[in-house]
Amino acid sequence: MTYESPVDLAKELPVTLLWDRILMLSIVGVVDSMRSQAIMTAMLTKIEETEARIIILDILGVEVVDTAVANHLIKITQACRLMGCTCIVSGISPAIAQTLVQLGIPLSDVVTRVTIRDALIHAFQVLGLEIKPIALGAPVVQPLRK
Amino acid sequence: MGGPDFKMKKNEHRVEVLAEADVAKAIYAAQSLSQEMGFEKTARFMIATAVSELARNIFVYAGAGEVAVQAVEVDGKWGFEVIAEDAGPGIKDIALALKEGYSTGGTLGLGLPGVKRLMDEFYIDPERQIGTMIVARKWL
Ligand SMILES: Nc1ncnc2c1ncn2[C@@H]1O[C@H](COP(=O)(O)OP(=O)(O)O)[C@@H](O)[C@H]1O
Ligand SMILES: [Mg+2]
Repeated sequence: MTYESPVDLAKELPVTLLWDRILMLSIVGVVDSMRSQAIMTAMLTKIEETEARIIILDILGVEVVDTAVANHLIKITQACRLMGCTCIVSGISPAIAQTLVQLGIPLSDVVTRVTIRDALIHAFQVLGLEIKPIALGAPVVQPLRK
Repeated sequence: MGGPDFKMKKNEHRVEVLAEADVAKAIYAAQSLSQEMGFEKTARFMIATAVSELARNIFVYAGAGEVAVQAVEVDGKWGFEVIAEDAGPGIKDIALALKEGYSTGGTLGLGLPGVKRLMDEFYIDPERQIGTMIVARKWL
C-alpha cells in the first residue's frame, strides 16, 4: 500500500491506549523520513486526544536504527515532552544497543527499556500506580516467567 | 587499505539508489547476504546499519548512485564488503566529513564516523575526480 502523505499514513498507525494515560505504538520494518513524520504525527495527535502522560514506542521490529532513525527518535521524544508526555523507547535489543553506542548517538535524554513490560512498569511508577495480587483467598493467576 | 588482491568475490548484489525506498532495498540486500555468510545477529545489525548510512548519504547528498554488497575472500578470510558509489558533488574534505558532528545536511553528522566504527575496514577513495566512492568491510 502506498500513502500520499505522512498525515494519511499517520491515520493508519495503531497508537493504542494501554491504560489510563498510557499509550503504546509498535513500529516494524524500515523507517524512512515519511514514516518518521507519520509516527510523530500519530503519537502527538493521540497524546492530545487522550491527555496521556506516557507513550511507549516499541522499536524491536525495526530493521535498522541508523543515525537518521535515531535522530527521529530524539525529535519524537522532545516533541512528546513539550506536550507533557514522557516517551519511553522499548525494544532495545543487544544488537540495537551496541550499534547505537558505535554510532555515538546522544540518546542520554531518551528513556529506553528492553521490553514493553519494563516500559510499562516504568510507566506505572511514574503515574504512582502499582500492580499487586488481589486479596487472600481469591483465585491467583500465576505470573508468567520469562 | 586500498584494493587488496581478492582470491574470490561472490554473491554480488547491486542496488541502484534513486529514491528513498532504495535505501530499504540496500538494507534488505545487506541483511540477506550477511545472514547467508553466517554473521551473528549483532554483526548483521551493524552491517545493515552501515549500508543504510551509505545508501542514505547517496540519496541525500548525491541524489543517485549505487550500492553493491558482496562476499570477499582475502587469504582464506571471508568478509562482507559494501561499495557505495555515486557521481554527485563528492566529498571535498574527507577528514572533515569523518569528524563527528560534521554535517552539511543539518543532521547528526555521525553517519560516516559511525560506519567506520561499525565495520572493520573503511575507505573513501581520495583520488576520485567525480562523486564519491566508499568501501567498507567486516570480517567473519
Ligand atoms: N555520497 C556523498 N556525496 C557527497 N557528500 C557526502 C556524501 N556522503 C557524505 N557526504 C558529506 O559528508 C558529511 C557527513 O556525512 P555523515 O557522517 O553521514 O553525516 P550526515 O549525513 O548526518 O551529514 C555530509 O554532511 C556530507 O557533506
Ligand atoms: Mg549521513
